[in-house]
Amino acid sequence: MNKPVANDLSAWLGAMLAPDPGTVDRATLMARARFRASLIMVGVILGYVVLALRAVPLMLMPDDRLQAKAATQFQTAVEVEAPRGDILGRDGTVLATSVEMPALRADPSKLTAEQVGPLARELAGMLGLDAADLTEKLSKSERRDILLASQISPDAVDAVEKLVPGALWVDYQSTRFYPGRALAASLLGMVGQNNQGLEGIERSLDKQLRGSTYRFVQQRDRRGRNISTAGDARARAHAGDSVTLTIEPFIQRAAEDALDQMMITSAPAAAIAVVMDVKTGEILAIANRPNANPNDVSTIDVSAMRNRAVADAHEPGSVLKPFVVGLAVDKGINKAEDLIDCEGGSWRVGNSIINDDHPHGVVTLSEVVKYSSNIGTAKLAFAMGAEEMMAGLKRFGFTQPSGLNLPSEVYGFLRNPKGIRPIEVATTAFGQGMTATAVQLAAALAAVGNDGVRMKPYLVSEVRDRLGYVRLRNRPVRVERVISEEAADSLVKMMITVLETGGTGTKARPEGFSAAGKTGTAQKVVDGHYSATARVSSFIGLTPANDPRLAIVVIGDTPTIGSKYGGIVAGPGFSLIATRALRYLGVPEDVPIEPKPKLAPPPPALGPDGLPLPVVPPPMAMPAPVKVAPGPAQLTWLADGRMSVPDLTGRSMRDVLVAVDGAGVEVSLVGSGRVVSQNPAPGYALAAGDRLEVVLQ
Amino acid sequence: MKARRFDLPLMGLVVVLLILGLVMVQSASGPVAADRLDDPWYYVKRQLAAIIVGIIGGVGIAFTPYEWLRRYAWAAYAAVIIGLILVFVPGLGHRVNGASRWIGMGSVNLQPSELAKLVCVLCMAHFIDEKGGRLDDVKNVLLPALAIPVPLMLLIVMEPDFGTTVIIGGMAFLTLVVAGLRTRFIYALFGLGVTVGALVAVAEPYRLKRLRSFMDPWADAAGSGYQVIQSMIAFHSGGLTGRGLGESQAKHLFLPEPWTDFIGSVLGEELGLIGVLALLTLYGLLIWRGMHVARQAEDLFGALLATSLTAAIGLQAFFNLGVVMGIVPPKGLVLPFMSYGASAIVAQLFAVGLLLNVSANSAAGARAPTIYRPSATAEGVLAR
Repeated sequence: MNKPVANDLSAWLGAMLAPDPGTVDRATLMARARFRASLIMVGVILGYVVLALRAVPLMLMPDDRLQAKAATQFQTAVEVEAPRGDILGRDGTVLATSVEMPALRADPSKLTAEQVGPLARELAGMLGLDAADLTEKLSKSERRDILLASQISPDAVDAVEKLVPGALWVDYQSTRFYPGRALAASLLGMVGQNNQGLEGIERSLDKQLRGSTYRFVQQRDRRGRNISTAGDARARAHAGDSVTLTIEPFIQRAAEDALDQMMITSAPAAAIAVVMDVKTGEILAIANRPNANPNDVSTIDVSAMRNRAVADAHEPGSVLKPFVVGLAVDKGINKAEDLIDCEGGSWRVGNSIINDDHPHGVVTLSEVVKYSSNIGTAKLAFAMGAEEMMAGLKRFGFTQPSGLNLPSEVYGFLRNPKGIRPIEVATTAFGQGMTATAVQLAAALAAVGNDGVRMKPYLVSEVRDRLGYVRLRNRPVRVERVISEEAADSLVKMMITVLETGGTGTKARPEGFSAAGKTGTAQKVVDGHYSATARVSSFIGLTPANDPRLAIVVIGDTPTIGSKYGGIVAGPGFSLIATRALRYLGVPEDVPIEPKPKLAPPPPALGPDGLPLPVVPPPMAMPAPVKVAPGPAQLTWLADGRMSVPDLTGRSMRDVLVAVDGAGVEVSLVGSGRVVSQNPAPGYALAAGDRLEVVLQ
Repeated sequence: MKARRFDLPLMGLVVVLLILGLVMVQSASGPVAADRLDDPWYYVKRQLAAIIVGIIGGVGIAFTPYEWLRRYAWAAYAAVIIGLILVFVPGLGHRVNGASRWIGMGSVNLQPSELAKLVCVLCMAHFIDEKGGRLDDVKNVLLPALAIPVPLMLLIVMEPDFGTTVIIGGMAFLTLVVAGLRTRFIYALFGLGVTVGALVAVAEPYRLKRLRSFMDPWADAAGSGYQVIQSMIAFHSGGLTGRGLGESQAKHLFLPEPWTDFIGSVLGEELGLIGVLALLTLYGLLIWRGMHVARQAEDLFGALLATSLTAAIGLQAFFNLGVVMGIVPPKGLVLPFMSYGASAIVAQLFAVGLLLNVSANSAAGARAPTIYRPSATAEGVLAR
């Protein structure tokens, strides 16, 4: 078998190597073709072996350059911030929340130089952005992913994405939204671009509100877009805790309205209102002017977000006097009815003379408060001694941290009683040469209203995690007894007189509720000196007076229109807040409502004889309600325990609410303005739980 | 007609490669097609259509009577020449990236140069066999044989399509070598080819730049070296077992059109070294079967045809994978049976049809031949 093969081999070797074979034998030709074909096959397969030998090191040996390049180009480390937790009012109203807002991104490398200009102009027109700024961003052709606008209108998303497909796209970002707009804005604060709380609650509770950050490596394509199929990474970042505040949105709104009113009537440079629950220490409202809408992140004036209720310490002026009086009564130095010589309005202390705005001779201590006598209060301070007074004021919470833990809180100033000069003792007693914040005043006042026991002010009622589990729940905390119950009671009674006729706070009377208060008109310190014109006008008050529920502080800083007296500037604000808040809280009215000219109902229609037209009750549709004579704009109790419905025609919504308040009648209000019709008609009787329908226009 | 005995292993290998190719085309093109064309199956569908057309044509060719291949060789040659001219006719020709390679007919585009490879070998094999393989007769046989590829090459290089021109030249050269070209002519032609190739390469600055970036792709990793580096990254991240089918990262726009020339990189990344070695094995087996067909051919025509077609497929696979692995300068060659490209797939399946036709007429089908029988004669067929 071997031999013929060897013969064949030598035969075609000879044929192949022959110098000039001439005509070729066809068998040799085929043999040579097969041989050469085999050589080519072997060559190609050797080539594959080379490829295999190349593939082994390429694919298995570590290569720093390839690995480094792969690591940077295929992946990006991504941090997903979970949405911040909500901030809620005590009634559950959402004060701050996180919403997904579309952000416009672009890949400038996909745009030609000619496209950039027109595209920038078109986008600027659609989104209301600056064309020059967009042109600059879109011209960065080396970039592949650039943020053009962080919050665009959801309506614009579709149109924008169609402009240059692939080069423009929309990404959704968690954005802070404040549904109440400027409501309590300075208290809530705001959040920066990096999801960090910058001011207010957002800052003080940033740790709780801020969600967890989920860090992961994201696979991306060459354009930098996410190609991970792992699902929504956002879901793995846990949302922040939600915070429920003690703030009562309805009362907060009342406080905001009161300040708005003050801004119109007195135009102060700044204004503050604080409402505190006397018995618990809960802060129900903190309002500030100026304020800002924190939703306008790009245009917001950060200085307008200042929470002056804790950040501004003013000389309180006369509103400090009640605390000195209370301390004096507590020490048994005086009683309300004890007589004090107010020296006819001018009294020398050391080298100085102190004056009263309204000179008085010998008056009772109660009248010292009512007329706000500097001289009378100074005498109490001397009788008490500086040490005693300063220690007492500190017990009231002055110069102490409020406990609210808000950013930029200041604690105020009080002189050291050691080595103090007599005039300084006198001025401190009427609120000069010391400073306090509105929250400190409110807390001190609340202690008076709470039978002399100071409660720790607090703002956060509850912190719940994203699953609803309570992480923190604050309860009322008793700090200490500052003055005796009798002293507190006596002081409240003295402060009631301030609102009585002849007192300085008549404008502060709430509608339907009693109140005890004190006015203050402090000269403002400007550049280290008392200003001749600038005043800090304030009113502090407790309401209702017999069993105080609320401590309210209203301050107008540097009023510029009309009177600068605290009673005039801040009194009406107190009245408005107190009235609305107590009604909201369901506190029974304890004084009759005085008719106010502005809010009085329109005079009854007159007949041709000049006499009021008789009110004709409409025909009775149903026999059930007992028909009674038309009464005043108040529910009148009938013998059977039911109430007669007044004629409400022409009255305001508020009048209606006032009229039925406390009767347990369900009121349905339709429309706004003045009452045009009511059901049942005037004179019908209603029982508690019945329904009264009123249409306003 | 006698019963035909096709080379079944060859057919099986082609089917396996086609299926693997479809899978890789889907993986490589899916995300981009979904993004750009809203249809992740776009390229797969078109590739499948081309495969069906190619199989129908290939089967037709395989069943064509052997002698007809020779009878109509010149007609096919003429048709391709016309096609190559039509490419330049405005309105008919279809330009892509500055090259006129296609005849456009709506969404279907024909690339005549792919068929030129086939007819060139077909005609040369036919001509040389007809002349009794007397290549030593320079004037009457060698020079005319050499002239056959020249019009094709000229028309294709004008498109321009340098890569295909080189392939046709190479296939013509191999045909002559297998036909018994004398050693000194082999050297001479090889030298001539290399010289012309080098001159053409240097004449175009971009080809020189390609060559330079091949020598050191990292010198301009973001520019001329980009593609090779991306391809090497893909292979490297594949490792031994690959990232898993569909898990390529490089296909996400990092590799340019990864479903065409760089499909091997995606395969390397997704199926790893094991996948690459399997692919090389498949090609190796295919070459072995192709050469088996050539060696078993009953005449010189069949032997030349089978050798050249097999070598063309094998060398394209080698050069394509060499490029994507960074050991061969960039060429722009497709990976046979794998890369997306309708005309190429159709031409490759036609070539398989030719190979199967030759295999069916192989000497192995009959008893081992002891004497040379002039082919395509009644006598030859009867001799079986």
